[in-house]
Amino acid sequence: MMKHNVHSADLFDISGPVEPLSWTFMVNRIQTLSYILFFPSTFIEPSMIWIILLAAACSHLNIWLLANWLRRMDRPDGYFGTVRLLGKTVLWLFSLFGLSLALVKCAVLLLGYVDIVNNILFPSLDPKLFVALLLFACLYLARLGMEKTLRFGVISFIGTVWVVLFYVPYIFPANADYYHLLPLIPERMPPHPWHTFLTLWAAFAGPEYLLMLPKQAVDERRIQSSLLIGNAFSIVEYVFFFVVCHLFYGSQYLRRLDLPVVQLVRYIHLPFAERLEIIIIPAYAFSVVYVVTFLLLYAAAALRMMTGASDVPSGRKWLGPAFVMLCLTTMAIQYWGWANEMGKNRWIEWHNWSDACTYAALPVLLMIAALLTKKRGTRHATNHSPD
Amino acid sequence: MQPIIRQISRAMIFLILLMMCGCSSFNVKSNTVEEISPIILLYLDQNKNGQLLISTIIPPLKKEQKSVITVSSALIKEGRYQMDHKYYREIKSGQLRMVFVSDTLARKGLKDVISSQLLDPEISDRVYLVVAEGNMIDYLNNQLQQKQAQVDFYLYKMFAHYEKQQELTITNLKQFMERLYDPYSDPVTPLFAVNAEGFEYQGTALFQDDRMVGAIRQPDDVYFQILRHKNRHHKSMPITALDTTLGEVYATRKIRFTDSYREVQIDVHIGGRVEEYRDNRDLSDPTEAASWVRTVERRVESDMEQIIQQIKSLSVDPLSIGEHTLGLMRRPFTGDQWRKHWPDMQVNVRVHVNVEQSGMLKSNRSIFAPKGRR
Repeated sequence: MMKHNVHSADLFDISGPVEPLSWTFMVNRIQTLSYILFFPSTFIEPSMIWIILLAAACSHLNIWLLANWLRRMDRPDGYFGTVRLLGKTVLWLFSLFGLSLALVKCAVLLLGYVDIVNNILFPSLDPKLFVALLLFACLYLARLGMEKTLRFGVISFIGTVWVVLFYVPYIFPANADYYHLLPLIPERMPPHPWHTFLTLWAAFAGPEYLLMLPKQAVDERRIQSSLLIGNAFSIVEYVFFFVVCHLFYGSQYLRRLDLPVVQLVRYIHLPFAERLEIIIIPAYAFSVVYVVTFLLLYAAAALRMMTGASDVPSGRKWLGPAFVMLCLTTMAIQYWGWANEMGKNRWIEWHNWSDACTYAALPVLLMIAALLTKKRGTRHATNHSPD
Repeated sequence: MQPIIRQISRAMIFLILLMMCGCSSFNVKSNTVEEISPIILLYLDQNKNGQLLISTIIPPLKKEQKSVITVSSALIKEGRYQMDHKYYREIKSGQLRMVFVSDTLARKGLKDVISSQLLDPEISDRVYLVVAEGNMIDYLNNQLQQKQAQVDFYLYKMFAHYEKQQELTITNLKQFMERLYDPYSDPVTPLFAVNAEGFEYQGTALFQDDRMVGAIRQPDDVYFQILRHKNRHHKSMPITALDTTLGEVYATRKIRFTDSYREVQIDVHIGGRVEEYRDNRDLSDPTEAASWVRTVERRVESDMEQIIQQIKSLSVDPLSIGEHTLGLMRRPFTGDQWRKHWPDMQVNVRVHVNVEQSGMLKSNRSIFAPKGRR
């Protein structure tokens, strides 16, 4: 039935440069999803806005580096290029590492989202059913291949970005108390600055998965601006949600709330519709499906690399095992970790830390890669390949 | 041919999926309309044994009598559990709009009441919170007997209207909680007097933490509203002591601190027109009008100072004056320090009244007569 959708033999085939807007949307959605779902209760003081801006600036720098790397003509391309650069063993280790991180990230995102749906929309429904439905939606999308998934980013962006508009009334008085934002300049160090910074840094994580893009997917002239615009949009969104939550709740009440952003949605009353969360929360499913599918495809690619079967043209057969692994991870985390609030928070914390680590590792990786490329470039003339 | 059949079959599958959205898995609780009764209001009281009394109006579904049911329980959600056992339909609180609390319970503390409501995802944060003095159950029963079956709906409409008008104190759960945890302000709720005959706005109940400690009653409440908000329009502002009513009042209030936070200066500017006046002074005479305006200013000032004296003696800060100490770079008091500091503070109120029109009718004196001649 899906045959005509699936003409490309390989999941990862990309026919030509991807629309620059797709990159913008991708960066933006992959960053903002986790933040809005788990708006962590660490951002409790108005002066923490500076930490947000600091993390944002670092993230901007990071993405600038990444875009510069992607624009380089001499960077290694595809599987063979990377093998030549890093060697098989290192790549295998990288793949293992990436596979496990991607699976855990997927599972935590899915479960976090399902948790909100379960709490607010369908309290008496078994959450497993909803997890399964979302997983199959991801599988369907993943079967269409990477190119289609990247294009789905446009849908996921359009499907969720309008949500921001509903929060705009909360920055005006009657709802907002501007004194809640004072004192904006801190008289002392905010508590746990490192922890706050890392949580935020994790909220900006995600674009590091673009590191291995094939050359033909990248339009060198426009990739940098489109990635940076995506990041800038995320920054605007974060600052906006931060300010709105503070204006509306005040820092003292805010630190007692679990999901202030979702709670705020429930406060919206329009004259013709009252329970808007029934529309808004499901809309986030677009984002969840998009990000999870993207990571699922990465997991499939990692599996393919680990088995060393990359020379086989069909990457499709690795999607099945990757999907099974994702199901197992999700089930395992749901069974052991997600049973109570403590476990949930611990998993979210771990997820944040791993995200922060991978995103922070990006410039280091880029530096190593650049050094190796240089070295290889000199050796290339002698036709030597390191292993 | 093939593609058309395929498209039709896809459309069918999509339709079936769409229809299935209404279905749910087998173990889900039923929400059949005939079996539930969504309540609009909840009244919480406490009896002498310390048990909670929870009452609500059961909405009618078919041709049945609306009635008030009451249960007594130790916990709020236990009360709901008991209601389900007492009544033949399941009670749903998704449409809950108002929580009335008796003043006895309000004086004991409301934190548990409110947090149990907030923790329930069915209940919106917008539920109005009202303190009622008197016998609410009698009132509701009386209304239902007088064929005023929609009383709960009318009450909700009334609160929604007052909230939009912004002339009275109206609080919902979120606003109460926000101010409860805010170190620089204290929560307030509207206070209503209720008996078998009627339900009437009395003023503002003042809370220290989550306990009601006092109230600003009716004639003073309008001054309290002016002091509470940065700028506010009031349809009318009666000054009974001077036999005057000002109408279309636009009031602005400024708070500043002098003498290194030992003094608060509150400047109130009131602009409006005289709508009612029963004194012998001739307001069309500029000098007399000016002296009359000064009397009004003195009067309002002393009334406002009295209100502030009252809230200071209760050591509560419902006007959020503490918030105004905060600056872009400064926080001179922490929340606790402010609470200690506030009752000892010197507060000066300065009122400026600007009468835009001194009444509709000019005095019967000829406008050609020279001024100053009687």
